[in-house]
Amino acid sequence: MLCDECKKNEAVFHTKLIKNGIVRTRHLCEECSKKYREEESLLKSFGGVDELFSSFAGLMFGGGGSQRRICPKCGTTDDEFIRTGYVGCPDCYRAFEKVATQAIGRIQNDLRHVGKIPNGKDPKTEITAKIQRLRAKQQEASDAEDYEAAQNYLNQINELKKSLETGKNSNGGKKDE
Amino acid sequence: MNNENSVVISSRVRLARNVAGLPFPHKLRREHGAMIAKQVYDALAKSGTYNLNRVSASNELDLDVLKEKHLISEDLLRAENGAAIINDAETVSIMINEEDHIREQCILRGFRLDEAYREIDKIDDVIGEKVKYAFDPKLGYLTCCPTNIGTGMRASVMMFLPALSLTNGIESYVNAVSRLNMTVRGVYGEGSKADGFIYQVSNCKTLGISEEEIISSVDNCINSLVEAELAARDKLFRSDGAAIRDRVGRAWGILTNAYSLSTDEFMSLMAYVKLGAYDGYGLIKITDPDRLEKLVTEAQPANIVNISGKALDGDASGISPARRDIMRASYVSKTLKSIGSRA
Ligand SMILES: [Zn+2]
Ligand SMILES: [Zn+2]
Repeated sequence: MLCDECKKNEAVFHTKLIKNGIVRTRHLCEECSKKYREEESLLKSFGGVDELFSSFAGLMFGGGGSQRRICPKCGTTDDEFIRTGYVGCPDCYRAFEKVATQAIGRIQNDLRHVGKIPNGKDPKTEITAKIQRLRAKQQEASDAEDYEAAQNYLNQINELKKSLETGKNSNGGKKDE
Repeated sequence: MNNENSVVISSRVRLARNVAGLPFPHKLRREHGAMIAKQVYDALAKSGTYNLNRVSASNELDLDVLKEKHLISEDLLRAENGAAIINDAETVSIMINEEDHIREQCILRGFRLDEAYREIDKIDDVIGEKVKYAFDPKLGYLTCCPTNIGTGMRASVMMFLPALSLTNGIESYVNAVSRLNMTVRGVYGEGSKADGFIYQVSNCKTLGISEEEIISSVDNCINSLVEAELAARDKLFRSDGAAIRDRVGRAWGILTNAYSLSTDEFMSLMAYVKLGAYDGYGLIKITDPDRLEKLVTEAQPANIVNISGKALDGDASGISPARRDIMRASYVSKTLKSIGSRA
């Protein structure tokens, strides 16, 4: 990937800019990133650049530090992830689980996927996913000592399990999210 | 132009996907990156006519044309092994090796997010039959940046908000909208005179929310923005009707008579012509509103050169900006006269 600024050198710094809550990406080479940083500190000293150049790391980690982990699959370090906001491969999410979870929680205000799943139109996969989601909700409810809700989720799970066995697509738990 | 269509320009749904077991594009080895485009293109072979545009094999003009049509991003142009797979109708564009391996998008004219989602959801299934997506049961679709993780979905609507911009109401709406986990950004250089009052509104949250919920939350947000814009238009006309009539009339006069027209001048005047065509004002009669909207794209630098056919083999270097401005003026004036008149 080429540098955004000079469009000549290979970009080595990939940073996120946040303005009005909008995340933009900048790809810069070594040289331009230096210039850019000088400009940034200059602008900051003038004030009034409201969070224009606030770093992605600040948003994601609130100052939390790296754990010096390295992804065995792609070689990305958690430090690099914190600096750039990018992971290197799907396995990174497991390799730096702690920092990644922290980042995801801050950005998304959530840690659990409730949307589409690949090949999800296969009723069996869909039901299994629903059961997984309901189980998580059941656990949440029991953690909050709301046992009535937990029991309710359990009933829905059992309904779905039955439908899995009989191969019929039950509607139980359809409105689970 | 009817009320909603005079505010909403187009609707887009994008799904970010990655191939399981491969590093993300910025860490990907060249030979692996090149395979993804082919794999996705082959997967789509039976679902309509698609064209595979590899960035490295395309000329600059063609790429700029696609960018001005919002079918590809600036980032894709610099991506190693970047490619775009686009259908004939130019409603579906799949970017390869941008920030993620695969970015599937459907773009439709008007306010049709739900339809755009259903279309791209189908295409996602078709590609998913041949490509194993990086997916985690807990985190959903895994993406290069955690801002897209989960559904990988961005639902966005392009809006024309002249009255909110002119009355400075836009700021408070931007703030209100960001509290709803949405973002608003200018499409053509924010805050400049040439922004054409065109904004894009989209969801931020992609995890812990279902696709349907994303669509309905963006829909709700757009509905309230449409309402606010229309109310602002009424108010503007009541308080400043003479000034509006004058600006619309002048804009029409220049766009239908100028000999040379820069992109910036075109953008700022076109915004007033569009505002004049709003039914509530009825200052300009337009017989073909879609054509009017299309003109905004056609008058952009690469598109105007492309339409003229003057760039040989995509080499636009021989066409000076001055010559391009003359071609633009002629094209814009001819088009506007063919579809509209002052009321
Ligand atoms: Zn550079
Ligand atoms: Zn990795």
